Amino acid sequence: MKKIFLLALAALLLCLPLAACQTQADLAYALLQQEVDQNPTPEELRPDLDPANGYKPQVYSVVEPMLTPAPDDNLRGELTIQLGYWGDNGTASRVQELAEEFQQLHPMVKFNYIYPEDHMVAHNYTAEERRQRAQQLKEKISTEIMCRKADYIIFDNPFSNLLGSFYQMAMNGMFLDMKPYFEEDPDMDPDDYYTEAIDALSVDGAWAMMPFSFSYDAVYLNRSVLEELGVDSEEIQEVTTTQILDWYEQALTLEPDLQLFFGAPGKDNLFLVERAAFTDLEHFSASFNSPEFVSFLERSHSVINYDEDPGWNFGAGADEILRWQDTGREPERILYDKRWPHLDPMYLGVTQGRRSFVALEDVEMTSAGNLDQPLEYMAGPYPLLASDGKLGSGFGYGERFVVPACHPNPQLAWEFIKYCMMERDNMEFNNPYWYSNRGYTEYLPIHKKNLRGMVEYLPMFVQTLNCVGYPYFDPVDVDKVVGEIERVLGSYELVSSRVYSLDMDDYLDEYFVQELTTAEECAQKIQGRTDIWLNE
Amino acid sequence: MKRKNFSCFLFILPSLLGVLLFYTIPFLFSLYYALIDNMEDRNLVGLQNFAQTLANPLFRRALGNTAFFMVLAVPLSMALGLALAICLQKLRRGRAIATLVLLIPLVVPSGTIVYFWKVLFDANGLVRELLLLSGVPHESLSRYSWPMGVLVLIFLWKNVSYNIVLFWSGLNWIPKTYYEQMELEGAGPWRRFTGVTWVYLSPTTFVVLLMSIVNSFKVFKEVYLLYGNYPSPKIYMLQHYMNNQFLMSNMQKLSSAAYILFLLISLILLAVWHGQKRVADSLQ
Repeated sequence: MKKIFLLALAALLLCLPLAACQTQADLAYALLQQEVDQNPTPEELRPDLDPANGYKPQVYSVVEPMLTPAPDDNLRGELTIQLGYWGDNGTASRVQELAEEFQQLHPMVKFNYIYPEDHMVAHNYTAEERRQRAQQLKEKISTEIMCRKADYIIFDNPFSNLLGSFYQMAMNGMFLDMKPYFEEDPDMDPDDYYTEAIDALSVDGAWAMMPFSFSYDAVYLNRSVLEELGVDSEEIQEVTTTQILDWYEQALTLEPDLQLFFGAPGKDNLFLVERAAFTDLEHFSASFNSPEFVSFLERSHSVINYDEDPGWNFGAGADEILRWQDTGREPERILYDKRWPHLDPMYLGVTQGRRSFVALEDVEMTSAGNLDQPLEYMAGPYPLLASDGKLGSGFGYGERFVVPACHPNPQLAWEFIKYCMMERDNMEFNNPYWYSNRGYTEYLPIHKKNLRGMVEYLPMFVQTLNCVGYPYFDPVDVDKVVGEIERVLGSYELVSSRVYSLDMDDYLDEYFVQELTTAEECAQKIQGRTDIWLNE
Repeated sequence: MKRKNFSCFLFILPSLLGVLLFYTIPFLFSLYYALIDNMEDRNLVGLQNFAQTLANPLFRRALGNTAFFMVLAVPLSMALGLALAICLQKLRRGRAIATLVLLIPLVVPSGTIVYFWKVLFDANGLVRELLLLSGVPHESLSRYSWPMGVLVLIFLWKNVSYNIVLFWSGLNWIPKTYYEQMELEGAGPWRRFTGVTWVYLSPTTFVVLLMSIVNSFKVFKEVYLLYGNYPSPKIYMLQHYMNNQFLMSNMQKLSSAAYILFLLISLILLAVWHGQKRVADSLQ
């Protein structure tokens, strides 16, 4: 009897691993891992692009800036610039050019640069490897700041995953408050800057993150759908999340297959905007468990959004999709391999993209051009507001400088940041990275005159190689574009980017993607997490 | 004698240095952090941080959750541990196999345990699927879901083995002649338990109580692996509060919370030790 029992136990122990629960996710992961193991390493793929093998990016010939140091210049010291993001040094090169210009004015200032791995190497990593390296960089920077060893200026951009951490650290005084420097500096006039955008990044009134550029939430809308609904696209000044859902639900009665978003970026995208309406940072409260939010979740969930769709999810890309569907004309602005178009994801993105209603795209430099020269099939860009009228600052898009409070020379750090932000004549940059644009910034500059300068430079700017898929512009009406941007900034409350810094992806995936929870459950979970986050 | 003392001191010096470096000095530094306003200005503010921490409704909620969990899980794990230890002791056949099965959770790593429980109790877990298949409405599942119950279950599953080992060794020390004598006097099982087992197991019981209280704080590991930094408010524990303050680099809130927790645990352990002393004296 004992022997039989022992045999049965042994059999059970052997069978358990075989019968181990393997979810669909496990199976997919196993297949992916197998694929990854079979793929060559980045070094095997393109050894010629590995900086360790002596690769140096090609440098374009450019106009040398002629800057003369002042005779009484007494600025001296050493500044180190750390990139806050991993895998794209293209935008960093313009900071390097600004540093070189600054050095011409202040020859006794020396610059060092800490750049993580470059885009050319990062491009050949798998998604998981890129995520790990980005996470490692984030931990390195966060740890150095917490240990007060961060003796550098951080230049951060939307590619980084540091914004949430930065807000938390800023709340605990780990960063330099640049507001006193700004206010006491005779070179800085608040009327010259879009201080609304600076305030959107502020933490408890302190300017711990100084934006170099910014953007704001916007949408493009399908003109033909608006016509079917009897809406005049010229009359639209702004669009709210609930308005989008209202129009979409009306349009579904006329076109049952109409998808909400071009490119199917995910049903939770409207939540990213709408969350601002239910979060009160001032009173540390949230109202996600209200019937209004539950209703919003249910309406967002019921939209059509097929994730396998390879289409483009920005305005000009959506325009190309609709042109293809209307005329059969091959895409003009998208650069694709004409030898085998059916294999090129860019071509497929246009020819297989579903007919949709909305393209989500922030107003940055390239989309700002459409404020004067609209697209043919897509109307906009219109500012996208939460249902209570708040305007989000582009999900934290834009570039920003952050100075740790332990920086050994905060005055010098400020002088350099000030130089980067101040008015300049030349918007064209050298930028040695072939995959990146050659402008001062691809977002909206924080200085009003620099914005005008970039808008004027726009037709040249979009022709640089990185702007694939964006429209070509004739000379742009600068007053019209800048006027509209300033109207938007002056008309709506720009919400603090801090609202976006709490991660809700797991709850949103549970509801929108896996459909494991009801709208009420999802709302309760979001409310619980937000309550904790606000009150810690 | 002096030379002997010096040699003894030399032998314990490495451990002493380790305790100093990794416990005592950080412990004292934490008190300093708890008494200043922030890491930049470092102005002494007295007990202001402690007052703010105690006034924080989230901290109080975390404290309540932690206390509730301890009050629920510790007695359950002790009772279950004792019951299983007695059963094991009385088992004639298959004791080795039963012991093996009961002690396996003790050696399984936390990550593995978490994965196992996730398969069972996650939003797309087996238990939920079975309940839905058996006709339980979705709304009932969400309304009556009890994350604290799942947490207690995980704690019991992982820690009852440890209590079994302690109780078993305590039970083995009780002379069997006492039971024989009680049987001869006509005492039933319950009388034998209360008259002999419970009395002579009291020192072990207090040790188990102390260890269970300590282990109850370690459940944060599993909760963190299951739910991350921001779990449901129903299972938001003190350790979550402190962990998140660390991630936000708020050393002042972190240190003040840690000291409050230290004082509370000291009071609890003092009360337990005092109680144990009184019981031991009364038994004598």
